[in-house]
Amino acid sequence: MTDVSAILEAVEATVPAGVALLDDRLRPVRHNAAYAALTGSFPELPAPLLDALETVVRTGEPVAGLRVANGSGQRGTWRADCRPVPGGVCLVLTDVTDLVTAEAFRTALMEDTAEGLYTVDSEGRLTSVNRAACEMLGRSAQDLLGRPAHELTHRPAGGGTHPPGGAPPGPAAMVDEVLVRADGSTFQVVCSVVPLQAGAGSPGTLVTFRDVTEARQADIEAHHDQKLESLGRLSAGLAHEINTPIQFVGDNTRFLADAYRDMWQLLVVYRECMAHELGELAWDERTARARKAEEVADVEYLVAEIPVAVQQTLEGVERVASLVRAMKSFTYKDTAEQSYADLNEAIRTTLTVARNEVKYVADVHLDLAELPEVMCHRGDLNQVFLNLLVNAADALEGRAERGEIRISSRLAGDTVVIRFADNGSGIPAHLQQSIFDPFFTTKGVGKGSGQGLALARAVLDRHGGSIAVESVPGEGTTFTLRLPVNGRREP
Amino acid sequence: MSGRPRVLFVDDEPRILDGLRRSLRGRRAEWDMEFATSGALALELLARTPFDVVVSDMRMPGMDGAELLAETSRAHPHAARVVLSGHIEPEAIVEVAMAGHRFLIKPSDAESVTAVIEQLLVHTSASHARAARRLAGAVQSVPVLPGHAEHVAGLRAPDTGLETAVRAATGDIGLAAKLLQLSTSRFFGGRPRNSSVESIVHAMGAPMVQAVAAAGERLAPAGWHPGAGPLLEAAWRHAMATARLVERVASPANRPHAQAAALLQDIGRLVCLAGTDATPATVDLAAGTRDGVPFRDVAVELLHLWGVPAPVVAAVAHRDTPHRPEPAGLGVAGALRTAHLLVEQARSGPAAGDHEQELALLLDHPQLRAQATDWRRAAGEALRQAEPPACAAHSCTVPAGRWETKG
Repeated sequence: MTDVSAILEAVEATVPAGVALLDDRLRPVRHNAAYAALTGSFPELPAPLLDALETVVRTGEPVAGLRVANGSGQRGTWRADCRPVPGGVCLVLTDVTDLVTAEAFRTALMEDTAEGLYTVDSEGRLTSVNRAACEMLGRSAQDLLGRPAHELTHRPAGGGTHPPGGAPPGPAAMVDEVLVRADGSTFQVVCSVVPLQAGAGSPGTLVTFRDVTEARQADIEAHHDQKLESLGRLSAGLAHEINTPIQFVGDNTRFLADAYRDMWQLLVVYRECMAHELGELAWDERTARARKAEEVADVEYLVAEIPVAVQQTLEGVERVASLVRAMKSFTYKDTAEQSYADLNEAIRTTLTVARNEVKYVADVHLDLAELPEVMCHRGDLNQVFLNLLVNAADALEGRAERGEIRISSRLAGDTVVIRFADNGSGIPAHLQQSIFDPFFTTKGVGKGSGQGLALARAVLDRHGGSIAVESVPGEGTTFTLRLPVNGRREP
Repeated sequence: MSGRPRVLFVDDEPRILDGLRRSLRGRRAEWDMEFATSGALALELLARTPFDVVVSDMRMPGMDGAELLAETSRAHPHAARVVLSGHIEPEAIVEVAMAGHRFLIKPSDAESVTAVIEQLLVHTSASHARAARRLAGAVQSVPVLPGHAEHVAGLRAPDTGLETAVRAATGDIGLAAKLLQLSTSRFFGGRPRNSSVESIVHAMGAPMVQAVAAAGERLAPAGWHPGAGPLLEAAWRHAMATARLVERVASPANRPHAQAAALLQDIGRLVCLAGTDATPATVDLAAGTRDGVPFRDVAVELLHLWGVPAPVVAAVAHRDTPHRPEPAGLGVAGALRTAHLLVEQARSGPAAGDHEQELALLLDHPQLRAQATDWRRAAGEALRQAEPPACAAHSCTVPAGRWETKG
């Protein structure tokens, strides 16, 4: 084995790199197949590489590990090593495109992304942690690496754990957790935990998480805003619903006062007729006077109208009273705990408070089956019913004929199924998936903020239930709510 | 038509109509009352027999109140239009503002309803009662003068401030009149401190003023009487100068009313010279009449229909009547008359000797002598400051409507 050139030739043919020998004017003297394959599609070496090669020829100093784009607009990076040889230069080119991409990927994940990321080994000790995770946890990477992750990031007796023995294989679900910062304060995250097979080592775990404290806060505020929005809309209608009976109760009462006065005057005449001071006055004369007074008072009219006026007055008072009762029930303030409630009653209550939103555009048909009481947050469900009712009314607004809204309730096993159906314009198929997105709205500015259905879905989720839509454009829309009678099963 | 005034009530809630029927029963000897449960029914009744007053709810299924009243103003302009509503949708409020004469909020007691109807049954024009009512009743909004659109154009910017709104409203006679009308009702904003345009704009807020101005622009007339240009221009300049001067002539308490009266003094001319599509009108420019009715009679009837405060209506009515001042004070009418004569003289020179004696007497009033003001000079000053906008001075090419011109 002393034939060096044979050895060199074998090396030249075997190395996974392009090797070329160039003369002092950088013309190729010889090169291997890998070099031809690497540079084949590029007629010229890229300018920075040519510059480097010239420098090597001129100075006789080698250049190692130079990274250059492969030129000609094709994505790729070469590593170039240049060493002077007598009468020229030896160039070794390696394609490091994959390496560069992986490095960039790693930098993005470890340095730039806003999501927290760390990995732990089979003992739960931190093996790597990115910048975002350090910032969120309020600790430095040195402080974290090699230490047990769970102890550092969880409250001593807190919930959520990393599953012992690593995460179950397969794609992970997002889970809610509360993490602890170095200063002891906490923040809400959603995180995913996946197994990480790092080569021959024992199984590890990769955890990514996102701080959702502000988003959760915004959710609560959006919920509150949506309630205020619908209350604002309702209040004008409620004022109308209350002012109408007040107007006619006032008018009827005023009539009753006038009628009482007229009756009283009639009574005075009767008394006079009966008075014995009239002495000789003939019976005919007395009845004539009485009849005249009755005519003046229009007794027939009063006798017919007074009972009706009284009845309508009482009806008006009852209308206001029932509206006030419904308002009180509708704005029922939920406690943190769910309680059993009559959902049919909740539907009727909602219908009463929203009557003014609906009555000009649609007839409402109730088809309510007998239901057991359902474990729920009643105030939240009232809000959902209101949103669906107002949406249905809006879908029917501006049509030539009155629309129809059908609300039904059924019991199916241990699930209550409630449907809100309208025969309005329907929702185009391509929008049906978007309607539950927050801030999605087709209503004009000021008419709705697009949170109604998003809120409905969130409320149903919290109850372990569901909301679904079926809609045929031109025929109408049906929303179907499903609620477990006994509330959400604790996981 | 029989002698008894006829009143039509419209509401989709039968209980409301029942209640009104009963509570207004005491009026049955004086009025013929009819009740309709829908706009369509109301129009049928109106087509059958004329009514003097229509009182309507706003939100009703099918034809709503604003549509009904707008149609009434077109087809039955002699019928005064009253809104009686518990709530007006924000989207409909401007339509209502244009279509109605008076605005009552539910609940309103029978006395208020009766009082408004009784006022509206009064015709202000002694000699042209029905014709003046018909001409004034057809008006939903007083048009922006040709060439003066930029006063209200400033209101189109979405973030218009109160100051801009006040300036626009004091520069536009029609807008000022509409705001004065609407300020009497709580549907359109808070209660203004007084009847000055400034207080009204502040109480209503800029967005409402913007909406009202925009609605007024939408109702712009199809054209103006062919000879209207110079007359309208003179009316505008006179109104602006008088409004400026009357600020100083009127006593502090009377200032808001006097300012309003000065702005509105020639509103009849605007209303009568604006074309309407429906009826070709006969205008006598020299006599200042339309269909034989003096412009001023139409103005007074309109302001009365709109419920503009009585001192303002009276001052406009008596602007051309020689004024004999009370020693106690000039009052709104006296202040307007004085400012009017002063500006008139400043414009045409002292040759207008007719009223010299009256003016001298007015200027001798203690209220004016108490101020060390050269009133004639002040009038000249006010007139100079009331320069018309550049475009208006030249643009007397006014789109013409359908007219038959006399004289």
